[in-house]
Amino acid sequence: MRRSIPLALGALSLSASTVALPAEALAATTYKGAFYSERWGGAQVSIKVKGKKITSISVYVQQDTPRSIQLDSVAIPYLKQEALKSSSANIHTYSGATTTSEAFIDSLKSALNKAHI
Amino acid sequence: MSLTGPEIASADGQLALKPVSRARAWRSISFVAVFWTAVVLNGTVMFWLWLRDGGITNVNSAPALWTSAGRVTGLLGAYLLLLQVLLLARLPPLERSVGFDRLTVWHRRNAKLVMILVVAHVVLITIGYAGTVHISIFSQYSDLLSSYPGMITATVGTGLMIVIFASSLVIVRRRLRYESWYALHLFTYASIYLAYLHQIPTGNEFAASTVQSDWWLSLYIASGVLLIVFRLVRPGIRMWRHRLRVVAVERESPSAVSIWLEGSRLDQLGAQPGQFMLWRFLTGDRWWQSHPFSLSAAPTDSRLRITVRAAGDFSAGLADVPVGTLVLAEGPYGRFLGSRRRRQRVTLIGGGIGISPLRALLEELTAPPGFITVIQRNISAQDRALADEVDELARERGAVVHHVIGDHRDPDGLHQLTPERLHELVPHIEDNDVFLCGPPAMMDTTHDSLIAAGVPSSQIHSERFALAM
Repeated sequence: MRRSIPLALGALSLSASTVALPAEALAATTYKGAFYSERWGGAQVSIKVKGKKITSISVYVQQDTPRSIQLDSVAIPYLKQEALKSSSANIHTYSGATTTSEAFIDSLKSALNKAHI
Repeated sequence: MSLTGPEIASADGQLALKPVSRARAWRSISFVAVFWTAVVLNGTVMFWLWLRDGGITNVNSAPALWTSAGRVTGLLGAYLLLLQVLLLARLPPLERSVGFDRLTVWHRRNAKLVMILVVAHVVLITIGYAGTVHISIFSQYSDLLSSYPGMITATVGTGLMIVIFASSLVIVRRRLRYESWYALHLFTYASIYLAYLHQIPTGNEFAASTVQSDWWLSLYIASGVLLIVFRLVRPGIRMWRHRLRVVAVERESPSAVSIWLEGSRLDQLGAQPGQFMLWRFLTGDRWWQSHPFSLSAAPTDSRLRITVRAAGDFSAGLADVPVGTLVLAEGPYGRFLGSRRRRQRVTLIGGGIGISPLRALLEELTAPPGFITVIQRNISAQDRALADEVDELARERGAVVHHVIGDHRDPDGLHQLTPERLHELVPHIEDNDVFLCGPPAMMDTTHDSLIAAGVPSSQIHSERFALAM
């Protein structure tokens, strides 16, 4: 019984970060990480990179249960914020949303690899 | 009750074991073994799933602890709720090996456990989920109701369970009509179904695994099949085989009636004096409820008799049950049997309509003259039911009958059966087996008096005269 509830949570905060950094965003390059699935769904991270800095992140999350929808609504903004702060995949998982955090981090790593960061 | 089958008194009053086929005994033992093995195995699988999903290893914060505890209480609560229904699903081998009376006691204890687990599940999950996403318990609860599938039905189901549970606590105090309690209890099935609806879509162990959710569903299906077979099909077959019908209704006292029933092959029921059955009278307004009544005469191959006091709406209405009414009888149940006698001297103490099973027991008891005493305790002389029959049977057996009359609500009538009075009425009472049956309060005080009079509790045999609710 695998029901997918695709939800582009990234869209919201993407506009926020592009508004914040319009000039840099124009020059930024987008790298898309691989989709990593986990038991309750999966995540795919796209990053915009300028120089060695991540300027914005958008995430596609697939959620299979109402519990993961609720968890991701908190965990994903947290993970994005941490990744933007450190510009790396070296971030803590969100307590209670370990599998989503791991899928997010794995996908982020693959995007960073493509960007050679 | 033993697995070897019911004990039947032979013509000379000596107890003889009724032969039961070896094959049937083996079938019975294997069923019981399979049943308990299945209960333990599936319970183990359930715990293993919870553990594998990080039931303990993922607990790294307070909210994770509440959530994990909420999961295991929910799983166990739902599991024991199925067991709760199966304990009283009239599974014949289970009834033979455990006994209906003990099953009802287990059912009552298990009910408390289920209620604690279900309430703990609701509270712990809400606190745990709220803590994980840092919102208030109230917003989490409303989120659970609005966004999680099956949560509205689960809430209704839980509410129903609480009402049913509370009604069972209230009926113990006799503040609720048996009929209302019974009707409410039927909603247990609805509450289980309503609660089931949230388990697979939201259950951590089931939502993302077809194999696991199919296994969980199969537990419900298996329980449902057992219920249908043993609570519908088997009684139907029994009804067809015995064709039990009301043949006469006789008034015994202003407040009691006897109902005679006739059917075929009633010896196959294996009923003995002192036992009760669950009776369902198939008339338009009564078919949906069943009531426990003791046999008030020793059963024969073709006839049974019960004597009923006008206690509830149902038993009051039984005076008007039409002759010819089809009757479904489950049982026999109870271990209020002459075979439990250990002494030569026997005293039968019946309070009110509690005389019914004693009247049946008296019919099969044998002892030298003067060794049997019957005490009929009644509120008023005119309330005495079956008094003439008891006197007649007592005369045949050289038994002594005492009528103790007095309203326990009057100061004069209170504490009639004191230890001193019991000694007066029954010489050597401490050397008697005492069979006691009557209303719960009367039984409790009499039991205490008997103990105070020096009767060892192993010699006191009582029938609560109803299900051990």
